[in-house]
Amino acid sequence: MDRKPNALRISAADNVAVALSDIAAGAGVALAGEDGPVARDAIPFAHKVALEPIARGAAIRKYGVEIAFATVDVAAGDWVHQQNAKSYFMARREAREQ
Amino acid sequence: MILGYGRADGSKGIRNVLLSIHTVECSSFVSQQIAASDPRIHALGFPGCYSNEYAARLMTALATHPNAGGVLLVSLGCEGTDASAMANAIAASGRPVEVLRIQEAGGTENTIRAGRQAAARMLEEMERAPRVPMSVADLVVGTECGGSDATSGIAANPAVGRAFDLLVDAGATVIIEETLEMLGCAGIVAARGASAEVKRQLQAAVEKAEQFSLRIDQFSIAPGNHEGGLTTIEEKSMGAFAKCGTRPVEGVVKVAEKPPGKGLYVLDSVPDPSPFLFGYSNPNDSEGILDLISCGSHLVLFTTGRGSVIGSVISPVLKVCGNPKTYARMSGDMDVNAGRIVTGEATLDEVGREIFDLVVEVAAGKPAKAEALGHREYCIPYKTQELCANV
Repeated sequence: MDRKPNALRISAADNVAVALSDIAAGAGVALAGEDGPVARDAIPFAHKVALEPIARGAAIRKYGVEIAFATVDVAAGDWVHQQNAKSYFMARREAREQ
Repeated sequence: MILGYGRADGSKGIRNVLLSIHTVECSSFVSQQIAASDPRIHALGFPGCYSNEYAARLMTALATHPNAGGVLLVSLGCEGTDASAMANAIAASGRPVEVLRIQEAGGTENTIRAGRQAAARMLEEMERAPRVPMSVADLVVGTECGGSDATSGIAANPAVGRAFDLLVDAGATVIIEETLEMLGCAGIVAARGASAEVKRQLQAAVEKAEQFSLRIDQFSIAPGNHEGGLTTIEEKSMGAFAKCGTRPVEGVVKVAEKPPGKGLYVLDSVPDPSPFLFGYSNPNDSEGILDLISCGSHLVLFTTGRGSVIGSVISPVLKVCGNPKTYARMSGDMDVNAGRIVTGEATLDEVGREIFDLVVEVAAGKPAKAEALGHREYCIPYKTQELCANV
């Protein structure tokens, strides 16, 4: 593959990649050395795109660790942000406060 | 090959600097005037008159740093910090040390004259320091970030993490600071501990940082972070923690404590709970860099996105810039262009290797950009901390 990557998978264990530039909905996600999914949403620079389906409640992994969990079923190519992901830490705090 | 400077206490430095240390703000001008006589003299000190155990310990650790070959202590004469006790500790390390007391020496001009004569003698003696071969395994390397932006967690920080993995694999000691930037990640960070005891130390250090930040109301992920693509506090924290790579954490150290072994260590610079409540954790980037140097860092990797120009006294600071636009604007200050990761021109592994190679070159004598420009920033505030060894 000779085109420049437009997204970066930081750790091999990650199920999201970070956009290295704005990626339009419908455009292909290109990682270094491999093709990713087609973007289903617009992915702004530095935002995350799902590389594989992530079921509701499952972990979102970046830097090789669980940085959030999915609050709905996420499809490969979806923009991953506050509309479909939540902090474990904040969820635990909220549970304690209730 | 790295040709270092052998010290009488067995340590090996990559630079051979003379320190002129003021023990109170009242003697800072005289100390700076002594340092102005030769570029090999680095001036630093503590402004407070009331003695602070933390600051005295920090200055003693800096005065016995491997990169320091000799020390002038410039005292007014009536401040709380005990220059004689510091001088004894420095002399015990085998380094030449002299104390100048302005009140006894006869004021500004007489002290500057005496200080410059003493400095000339010590510099001559320091030039005779034996040159000893050093390998990467002899190096201690610290890392910190400042002036971060959306590229920091993508490019500069993980690239330094790759370099840290290479350094650890080569037998070096590496240190990451900023437990305050591990908020929300106590469990993730603790899981990196090499033993049950280290896991407990890490959990406690991050929880202390969480309590501290709650008290000073710095506990959140800001709207700007969300706009920049960060979804959770864990993600924000991990972007900073990515600087330390993936190897196990061998232990936690406090300011002025040397890591007892090789591998990756976490530096806890957050003030311990104290009745005085003084001491922000990192009042500025220079304070954090100096904390890393006080733990023996021969050099420091500083990552930035928005840009920074700082260096430090004692140890070279290498700046790794992850934002390609910032790099283009400020390339005269930047040592590594990690922005090539963002533009897709280089991989994290490639830039990590480049940082590792540059660490070796700078250890062997190549000046860092800030060093060549003459940057000598430092900051020593009042703070309260117990050493890990005492807890």
